[in-house]
Amino acid sequence: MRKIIIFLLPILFFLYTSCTAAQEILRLSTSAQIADGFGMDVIKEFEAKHNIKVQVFICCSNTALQRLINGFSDLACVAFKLPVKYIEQGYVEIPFAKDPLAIIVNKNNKIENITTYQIRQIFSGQISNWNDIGGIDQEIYTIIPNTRTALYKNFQVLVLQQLPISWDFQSYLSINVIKLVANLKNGIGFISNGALKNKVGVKILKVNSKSITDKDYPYFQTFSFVTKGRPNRNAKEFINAALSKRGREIIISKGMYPIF
Amino acid sequence: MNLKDKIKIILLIVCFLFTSSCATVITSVMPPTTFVKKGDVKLGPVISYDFNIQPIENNIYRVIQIPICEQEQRVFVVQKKQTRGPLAALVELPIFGLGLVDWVVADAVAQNSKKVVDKGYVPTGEFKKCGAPSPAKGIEVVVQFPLSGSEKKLYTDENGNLDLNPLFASYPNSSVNLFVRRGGMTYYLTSIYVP
Repeated sequence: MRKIIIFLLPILFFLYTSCTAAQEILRLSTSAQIADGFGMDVIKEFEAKHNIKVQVFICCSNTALQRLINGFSDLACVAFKLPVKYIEQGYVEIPFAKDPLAIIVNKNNKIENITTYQIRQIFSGQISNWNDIGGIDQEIYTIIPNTRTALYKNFQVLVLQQLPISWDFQSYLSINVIKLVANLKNGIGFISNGALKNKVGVKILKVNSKSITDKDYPYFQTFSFVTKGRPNRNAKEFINAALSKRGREIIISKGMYPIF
Repeated sequence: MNLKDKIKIILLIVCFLFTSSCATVITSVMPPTTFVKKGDVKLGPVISYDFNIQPIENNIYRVIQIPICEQEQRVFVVQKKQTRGPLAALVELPIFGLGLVDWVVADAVAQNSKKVVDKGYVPTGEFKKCGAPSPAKGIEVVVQFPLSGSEKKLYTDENGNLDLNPLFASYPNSSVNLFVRRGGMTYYLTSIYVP
């Protein structure tokens, strides 16, 4: 009997390990605004369709890239253009969507339109009262995401043209800007349009009389996949899922524009 | 025959009447149950392609396509009454052995009620390679330049070859992504660093 058990144990162990190893894993680190705006929906459908489990780590774009560099991820989703030094080192950048950068205020704010000049004045601290841009006589609270996030850097480059940003409140994850603006009556912030779907308590301002849905809206971020070397099989499947008809539908439904 | 015997006979007849064919009656009266029976599996028509790329010469690549089919399985919807009343048949068994007959008849009723509807082949949601790899002739390849955000369209020749030399001569020191576009769908192919 003991001999049979000794004989069977390794077989059972082998069967157990082979069964548990059956599902493949894709380690994905993603910027919070991409996860919220697009990624989670695609991940759910991807897992349902393929026998691949996606291990998601939500962070800022910079951390997502660092995790990829350090071998903790197979694929990173970032909201900035990959610096040339990484491309030279063999990292692959695949831009897949463009997302309008929304300027948001509390839903009770009477302001509907803002100009680029006014945004620059507000976020550089030259204007600190809503009265100065046609609103009520109350202090403006500027709300920004963490200064390490791609959203912050994109805003600084696209809107403020590298001017230093003056701020009252800062959130660790970029998507928490929405909560802060929704809770602060006199708050103003900026966020990826994709992350704004179904969020309540905030209002998107027109910029230079251009609505966020207009093609000639002035501020767009580019969302990209990044891999260390060429994407592995699972990462390639995920990229193709994002490029697929369904992936495009999700991107469009979130107010973003697919690159292809 | 005294009164006691007569009562016994009457009781036996009543028992016979009340207990015989119980299983048959219960089986006949109860509604049929419906279940799905799965049949053989086959691969459906080609619904998409998997694409690969092979280097041929310096900056000349061959695009290879592998057809992908969705697996299909034949499905039958079976409607059948269940054989019911085993306890009744068991009770009937000591009475002239009719329980056995009742059970056989009940089972026959259940078998006769069986209706099978062939729903044909339905997709299983699994995708498999269903053909030999072949060169992708005359296919649209989009070359994306991530640094500039620009794109160029190229087509493979009759051998499925793609000559990137003219393009790379104009864009040195850059990384490019190649995508295949077919039937309104875009597939990531590979990325190449141009020295």
